[in-house]
Amino acid sequence: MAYEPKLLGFLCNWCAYAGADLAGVSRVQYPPNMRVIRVMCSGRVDPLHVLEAFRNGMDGVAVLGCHPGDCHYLTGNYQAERKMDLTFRVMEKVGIDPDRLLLDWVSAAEGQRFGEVITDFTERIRELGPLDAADAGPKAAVGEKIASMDRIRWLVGKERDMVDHGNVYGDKLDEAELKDILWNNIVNEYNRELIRSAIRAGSPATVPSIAEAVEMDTATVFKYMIDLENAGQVHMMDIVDDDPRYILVGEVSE
Amino acid sequence: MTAENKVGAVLVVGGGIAGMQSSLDLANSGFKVYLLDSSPGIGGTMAQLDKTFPTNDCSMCIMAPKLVDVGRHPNIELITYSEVESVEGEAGDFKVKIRKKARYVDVEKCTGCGVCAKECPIDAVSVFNEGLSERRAIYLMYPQAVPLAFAIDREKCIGCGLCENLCLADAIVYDDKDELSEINVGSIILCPGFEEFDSDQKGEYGHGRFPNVVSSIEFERILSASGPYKSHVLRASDGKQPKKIAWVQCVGSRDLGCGADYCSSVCCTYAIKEAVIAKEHVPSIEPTIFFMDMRTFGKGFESYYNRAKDEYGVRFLRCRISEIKEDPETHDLTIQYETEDGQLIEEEFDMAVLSVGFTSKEDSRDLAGRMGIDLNERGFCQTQEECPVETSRDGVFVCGAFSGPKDIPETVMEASGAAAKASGLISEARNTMVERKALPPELDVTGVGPRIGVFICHCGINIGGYVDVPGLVDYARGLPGVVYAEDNLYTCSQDTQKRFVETIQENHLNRVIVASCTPRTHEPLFQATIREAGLNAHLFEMANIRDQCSWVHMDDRSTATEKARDLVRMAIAKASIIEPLPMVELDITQSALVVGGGLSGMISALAIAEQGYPVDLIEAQSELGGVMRRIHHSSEGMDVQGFLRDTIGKVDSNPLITVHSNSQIIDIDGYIGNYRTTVEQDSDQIEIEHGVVIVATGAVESKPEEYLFGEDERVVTQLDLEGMMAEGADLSGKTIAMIQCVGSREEHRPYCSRVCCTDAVKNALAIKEAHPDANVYVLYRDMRTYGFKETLYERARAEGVIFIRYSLDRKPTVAKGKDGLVVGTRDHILDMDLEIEADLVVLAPAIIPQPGNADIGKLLKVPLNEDGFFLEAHVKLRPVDFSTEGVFLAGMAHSPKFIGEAIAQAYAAASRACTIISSDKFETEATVSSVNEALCSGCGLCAAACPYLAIELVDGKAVVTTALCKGCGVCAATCRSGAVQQKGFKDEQILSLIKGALCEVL
Repeated sequence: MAYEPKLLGFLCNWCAYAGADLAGVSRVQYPPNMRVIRVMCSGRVDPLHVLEAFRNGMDGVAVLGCHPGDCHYLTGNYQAERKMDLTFRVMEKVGIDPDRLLLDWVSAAEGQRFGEVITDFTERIRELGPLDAADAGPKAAVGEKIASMDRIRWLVGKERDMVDHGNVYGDKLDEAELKDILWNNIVNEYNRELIRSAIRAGSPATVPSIAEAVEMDTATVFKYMIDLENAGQVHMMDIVDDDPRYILVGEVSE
Repeated sequence: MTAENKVGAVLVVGGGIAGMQSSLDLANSGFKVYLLDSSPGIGGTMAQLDKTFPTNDCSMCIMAPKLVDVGRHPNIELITYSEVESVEGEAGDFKVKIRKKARYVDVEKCTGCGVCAKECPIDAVSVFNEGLSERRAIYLMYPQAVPLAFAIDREKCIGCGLCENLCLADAIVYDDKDELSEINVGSIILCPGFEEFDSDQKGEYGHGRFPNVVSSIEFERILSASGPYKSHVLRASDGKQPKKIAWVQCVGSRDLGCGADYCSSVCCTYAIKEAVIAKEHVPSIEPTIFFMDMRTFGKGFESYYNRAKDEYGVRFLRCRISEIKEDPETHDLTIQYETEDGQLIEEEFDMAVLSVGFTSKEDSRDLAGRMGIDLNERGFCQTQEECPVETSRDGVFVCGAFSGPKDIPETVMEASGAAAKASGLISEARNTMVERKALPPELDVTGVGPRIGVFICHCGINIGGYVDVPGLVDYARGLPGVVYAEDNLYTCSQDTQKRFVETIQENHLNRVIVASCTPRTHEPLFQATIREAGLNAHLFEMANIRDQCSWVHMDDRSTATEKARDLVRMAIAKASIIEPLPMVELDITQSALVVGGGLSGMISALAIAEQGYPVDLIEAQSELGGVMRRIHHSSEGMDVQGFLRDTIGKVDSNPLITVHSNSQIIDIDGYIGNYRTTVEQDSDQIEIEHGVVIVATGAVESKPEEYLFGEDERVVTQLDLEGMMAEGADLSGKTIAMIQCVGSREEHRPYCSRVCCTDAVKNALAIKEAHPDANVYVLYRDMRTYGFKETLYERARAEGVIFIRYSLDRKPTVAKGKDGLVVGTRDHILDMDLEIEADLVVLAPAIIPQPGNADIGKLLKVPLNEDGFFLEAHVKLRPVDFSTEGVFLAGMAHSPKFIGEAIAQAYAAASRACTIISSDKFETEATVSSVNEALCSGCGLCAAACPYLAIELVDGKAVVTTALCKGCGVCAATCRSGAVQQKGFKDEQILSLIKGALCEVL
């Protein structure tokens, strides 16, 4: 049997869901692969919801809201844009193809277009093929960890405020600069997680052994080790042959 | 004459955006509404529009929620496909005879499924799509129509009987007859709208003869995603995408040859919109707009015009076109025009759009005749500036384009304004005609395991024909928590709904799932039913297996069935963890605070007092009246000072109005229904409790910084001139030069001040009337005497007032001459420099926002726009509301406007305010957010994300002001710790849907 992608769609009540209804009224035919969750606003969709869908075996997720400027809740779709921007970046980092996530805008009058968007997205995912659950599950789980980090959610949540109205000092920040900061944080979180799992796989671990496992240079790994130790997440157990050996703190070994 | 026993119901004639807004305001203020429309459905012209200027919002997107609200409002009764036969009685107690035309489809039974139209063998022209596509003899006006019921076009129908044979709902009634009935109402609002000018009458433009010449409303349908070409810009002769499109302005406007001596007010801006949207659709399109004066006078319109020029490259050519020619082979069009320097040019276009004006409808003129309503000479409803929403008959009000061409925001303002007047008249009969259904107490379901009932709809053959419904029922029965499942031919039909209640009670169901069509239209119906059965309305879930399943996967029964199973399973997964959501009611302080004692503030205060509620009116000056104290006569001949004295007298003597003059607002605390405001008056502070706020702070005349103003006393402003004339200044034999746009429409202040062109014309005419030998020159950029004001401009020209256009790059100069002032300017037509020896130079300075706006805005947490005027919640459909609930906007605080417009808006603000304070309780949204204090870290991210400022940090914890929360859920998706959750859309509930979609077994 041909491969049929499993797709999930988050549709905002006022535009995208209405557009989907109009597609129905207009009998626009499109592939039956998507299961729809209606939310009042696309801004309700948490990056964790998307990653959870991938973790549970969805091959693609679409988040569809009102066109920019048309949001029933004034600015909710801009919030969605920022949250999905985070999600795209997290997916890229953890190794789930960001093409598996679609953020788009469909108005209540765009029944035809809704069909086209779904058809294109279904074809796109069909070409990408199924998401290997054994591989993607743990990746999505790492992504969820990153997307639930305080600082990451803070940066995303505060972005509009800091760009439009100013930071705590009243200075307006550059959006591109903030995005870079967000990206660095995602990269760092991801690398820390990689290192943690490397230690988990072979504890106690040394900087060279971790570096080999995570394919990073030893200097970078060492910087992260200091970081993690300061954060109380790893502990230097002892030093053997001049190499400090690290274990994880606060995790029961599996 | 006014009746003694008033009837608490209102008839609204016309279901366009005006009628819908009036109806909603009235219905939400405790009055019964009969909303009558001559078409089979409501929606009017706005339903046909693609996008709306100046925000380019999708018209249907912003209108659809209102359509649904009207359709399901318990206090609104829709009477579609009907006409008013006669009106007897007097204000407060009218008897109205109504003819309901035979529709041949039972509206109560028709489910809007459309099987009939799919098979109907008869083609007819789609009026909704302006003849650009076809429909069937049995038809639905448009997909989102309310009521969602078909009608048979009797003229086309051949009576073959197929639709009756196909209709499983038994809704076809071939022997339907016109029905006469009578209703009793206290007041009437007329808003039947307008008709587009029939461009076939302008034969020289070729509409109707040349396939590639379309009218602007036809072009709207072409642009629309749900239109005949599915939003592809194509031309009719060969189905090709056009490259060069010409818009021809003033077709049926400003044209005595067509019997239209007026300007249609909206065409300039809509042509810009159509040009911009066309270019957005197809960037290679080259739009050209041929115009006489660019009349972008509304709020935000001038910058829209500038963007079209500068960012979109729309070409604007100032020239009236005399003829369009066509090459009969290629159907390409040729337009001859004259450039500003007098060159004659012939240019080819692929397509032309005629910007048709507004005319009055024949039906409406007949209706006015039957009702004894005065019309003006153009066939529009006659109104007075003192109250632009009143007709000549007591108790009958008007709004929208029936009283003259106007755009959507003006229409919506008038609609609310008319609602204020219509309900003010019958305010003592409030709540006498509306019913509250007695409901059984809600069953307590806490601690009781889920007992889920699943109802699966065949929707005739709409679902059943493509999905195995009985199989679905069997499948649902086997899922955990499900104790009952059945299928229905139509779950929404009245008999099924009756049985619904019994089934719920007999089976002790505590969660109900309907798998049928879309929750957007049907959820409220099912929720009401389960509430009647004693369940909380939110113990309900819907699976959309029609609009988003059977209808879109018609060719594959097995995958459609599989998807339907998944959708039902998802609903069941969520149903087991949904909770009853209590309806939260907040107390309302039933009084208003009006900020600003100018004309708008006073009218709002009087209108609210007329409804029976107390008002505190705050004025910074010692006297009421604001800027109106400096206006002496109006363009419509109103005795301005007399009217002002009257109004102040009424305010002063009204026992419900407390005027606080010389007063400043120090602090405003609270939220909708519960405000506490501190006012300082002569160094005393008082506290006022109130439920709503109306901001009517007005605007001021700017002080010119050019043309020797302030240096030479012979240079004055238009307001100064009015004062001089009121004091009897002798201008006989004098030369007066007026200069327009002083400080308006310039880079540092890009907006148009709207009233100055008409003011100049008004004062020029007054001078000419008093002193025929005076010479008056008006130096202008675009003459913006919109609407019926155009006739004044015509008159001024006939009286010998000389109008000379100037451009921004060559502004006039004013210098001191030997005796008089020398005004220099460039005459474009003569292409030479002119000097005018003037005795008096009159400037039209920009109207600028009140300097204190920013402070008031901060106190109320409401925004200003880039020009410093207050920014309404939505420029089109919520022109007097702020996005902060309970705060409203009136008059020039919104933008510059005429007296009549300010009055209409002041009534509108009063009407909107009364939708809240007319009840002592306010029901909040059910799906609001709430905070789990134990998890909340007090970081404030949710508060920053909330579009409605509904979340505050109190003692280090986020607190949701339920009254302000609109239920979007953005806060929940932002929260770091899961402390903020949206009721009905909790994380665990959304996750249950995700898992439900994937797991075959729950």
